[in-house]
Amino acid sequence: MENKLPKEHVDIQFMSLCVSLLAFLGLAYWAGDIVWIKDFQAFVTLISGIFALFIGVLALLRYYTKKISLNFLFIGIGFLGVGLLDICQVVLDLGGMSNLFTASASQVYPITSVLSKTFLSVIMFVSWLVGRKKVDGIKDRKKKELLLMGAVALSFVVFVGVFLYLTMIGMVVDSLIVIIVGLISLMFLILALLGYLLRKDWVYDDFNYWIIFLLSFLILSQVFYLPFFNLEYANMMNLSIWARFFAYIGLLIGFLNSIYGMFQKEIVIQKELANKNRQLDETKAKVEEAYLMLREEKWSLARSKGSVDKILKDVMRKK
Amino acid sequence: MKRLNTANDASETPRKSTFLDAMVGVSIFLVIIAFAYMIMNPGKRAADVRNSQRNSDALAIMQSVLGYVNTTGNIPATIPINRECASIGNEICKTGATDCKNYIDLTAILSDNGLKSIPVDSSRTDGNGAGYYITHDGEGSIIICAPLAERNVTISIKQFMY
Repeated sequence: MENKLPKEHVDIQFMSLCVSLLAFLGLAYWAGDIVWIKDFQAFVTLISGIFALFIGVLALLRYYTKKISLNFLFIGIGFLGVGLLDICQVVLDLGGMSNLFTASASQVYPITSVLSKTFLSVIMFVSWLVGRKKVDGIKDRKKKELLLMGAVALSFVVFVGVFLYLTMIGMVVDSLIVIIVGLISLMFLILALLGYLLRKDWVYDDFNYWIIFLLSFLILSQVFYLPFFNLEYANMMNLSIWARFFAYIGLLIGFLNSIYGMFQKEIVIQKELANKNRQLDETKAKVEEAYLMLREEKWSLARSKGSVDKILKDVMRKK
Repeated sequence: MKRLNTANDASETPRKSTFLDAMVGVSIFLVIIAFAYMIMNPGKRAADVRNSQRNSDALAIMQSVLGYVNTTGNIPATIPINRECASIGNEICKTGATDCKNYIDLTAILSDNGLKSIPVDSSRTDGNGAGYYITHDGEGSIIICAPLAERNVTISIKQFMY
């Protein structure tokens, strides 16, 4: 059984997550008055894509060092795919890298931009799904998970249904497919977040907290993308990209933290090993010393009785 | 990973733990409030209203200038020729300002039937300027802009006078 993390540590982690979310919403509130933010849209997407590639490689490395954790395999494949899709999206949008810092006044939903979001949300959900085998024995938690997730999925189906109806009667005239796909990916993200929260592995492992951090910011990104807030369209697209950027940074920190943790664990193991070896050497020396003392005592006893000379004579006679 | 202590040790500091639990609860509550606030976003609504007022004011000034040109056949001489609207020296002077030096005095376009006074931008709280800028592009068009518009909105109107 793994050690639980200190409760204060877990509390501070979740408090910092809430503070980060609040700070980001604060940024969103004032983003309308920040002039430079729109010029960084393509650049931040590109950097996010590169980060996603890094995360993918790190996750695959983690999977190959510990092959039982299938969720690392899915996270790795997912992020590699997302990174490539994001970078392709930027290159296609700009028609090259020369316009990297130029804001475009696009007023339509780019259908390709929804691809990477959906792919990532599905992959994150699957990563939770394959990682939950550990808790299969706990019936209550499984039932709770099923109930909560069923409720969320059902509410989403109702939401999409109402939305479709409104579109049919002509009340909503936006990029319908993108919004539906966006809503579905939002649903997968919420389900994955619920799954990770209910699995409670964050009580034992810091990395699970960083996955929750990632999912929270991805949900925020999706909320900005759809868009649910009362903000300018361009700002919401921008903030959606920034939220993803912070989500990736969070997971990267998680990976680095986990690698640091592994090294620290290794140092402790090496120290323990050295300590045990030292103890073994000490014990060996003591046993040898005791044996030598015993032998010396036996020799002196035998010599005093004259039996040593008799033994030597017997040996000489045999030769 | 360095484990400083285990969860069992947390019971040694129940007060601290309770405080942190409460703080987590408060943070979650604040996040929900922030979400709700962003859906409403009264700040943006107010800024939109002010921007809309700026648009109306710019239009009103343009109508007055057009009226003046229609009556006299000339563009007011105080309006400088400059293709860049929001530049120094293009700001319209407030009605009743103490000094209109370095500002554009448009008293000539005011009339009892039309614009009675130059509207003042709500963000322009001090000085003699109205916050609205006016320029003549040298090709018969007048440009009026409101560079103090909020949330990165560009408010600029161009009208050919003849």
